Amino acid sequence: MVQELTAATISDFAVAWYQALDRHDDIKDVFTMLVDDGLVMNFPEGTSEGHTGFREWYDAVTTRFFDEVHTVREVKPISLSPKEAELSVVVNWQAKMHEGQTAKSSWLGFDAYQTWTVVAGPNGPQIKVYTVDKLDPMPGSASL
Amino acid sequence: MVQELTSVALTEFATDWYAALDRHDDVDDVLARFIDERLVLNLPEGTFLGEAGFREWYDAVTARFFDEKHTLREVRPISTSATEAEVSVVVNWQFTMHDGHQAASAWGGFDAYQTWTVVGGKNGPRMTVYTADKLDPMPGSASI
Repeated sequence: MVQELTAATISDFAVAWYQALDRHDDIKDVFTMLVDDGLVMNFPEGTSEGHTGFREWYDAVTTRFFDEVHTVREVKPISLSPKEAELSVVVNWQAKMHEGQTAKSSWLGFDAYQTWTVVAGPNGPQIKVYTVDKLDPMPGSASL
Repeated sequence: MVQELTSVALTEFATDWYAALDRHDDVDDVLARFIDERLVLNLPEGTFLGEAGFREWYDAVTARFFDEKHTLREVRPISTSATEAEVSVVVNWQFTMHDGHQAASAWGGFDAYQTWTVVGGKNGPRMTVYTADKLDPMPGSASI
C-alpha cells in the first residue's frame, strides 16, 4: 500500500537519504529511495536519468569522496499532497578526497541548496526529481 | 669526490629519504637523489628491480597511501667501508588509505624494520638494496 506523504515522513526521508549516502550503502538499497522511470537528477557535473544514470554518478562519487557527513539544515515543503511533494532542502556536506598521487587528502565543506520532487511509493517516499541549485563552499574547502 | 659513508651521512640520507616519501616527491627527483641503478627492493608485496621496478612500486604506493608520516627511530650501521654500508633502519610509518567505494578512510600505523645497502657516490649516498624485514602493526591499524 502506498504511504501518504506528510511533512514528517518527507523530513525523515531526507535524513535517511543522506545517511545512506554517508554510509555508501549498496546501490540496490539506495535504488529503493528513487523512482526508476522518470527519475531526473540535476547535479553540478551533469544530469543523470533513471537508475542507470544514477549508478554512474554513485559509482563516481563513492570512489572519489569518503569520510562524508551530511547534516540536514532544512526540509521545507514548497507544495505537499498525499502523493507528491516539492521540497526545498538545505544540507551541509563535509567530506575528504584524495586524488591521484598527491601526498595529502583534501577536506571539502559545502552548504548545498536543493529542490526535490518526491512521490509516495510502496515502501515510503521516493525521489523523482533532484536538483542541486547552489553549492556554497565553506571557508578553507577544496574545490570540486 | 665520493663522500664518505659516515654515521651522520647515513642518518641524514635516511631522514631525507623518508621526508621525500612523505611529500610524494616526483619520482624522477626521488630516483636521481636516492636510488642506485642496481636497486633491489625486497618488500612484502614483491621484489622490484632497478629504475623500472622502483617506478612501478612508487606509483602504486603514492596512489594508495596519503597523509603519510615516517618517524625515524634508528639508523644503525652494521658494516661500513669507504664505498658501501649495510644499515639497520627502524621507522614508524603512519598513513591514511581509502580503497574502492569504502565510506570511511582507514588509518594505518606500523613499525618497520629494514636493512639497507647504501653505496657512496659523488652526489651523496645511493640505495642499492632495500629489504623490509618485518612490519609490526600498531594497535588499531588497518591491514595492508
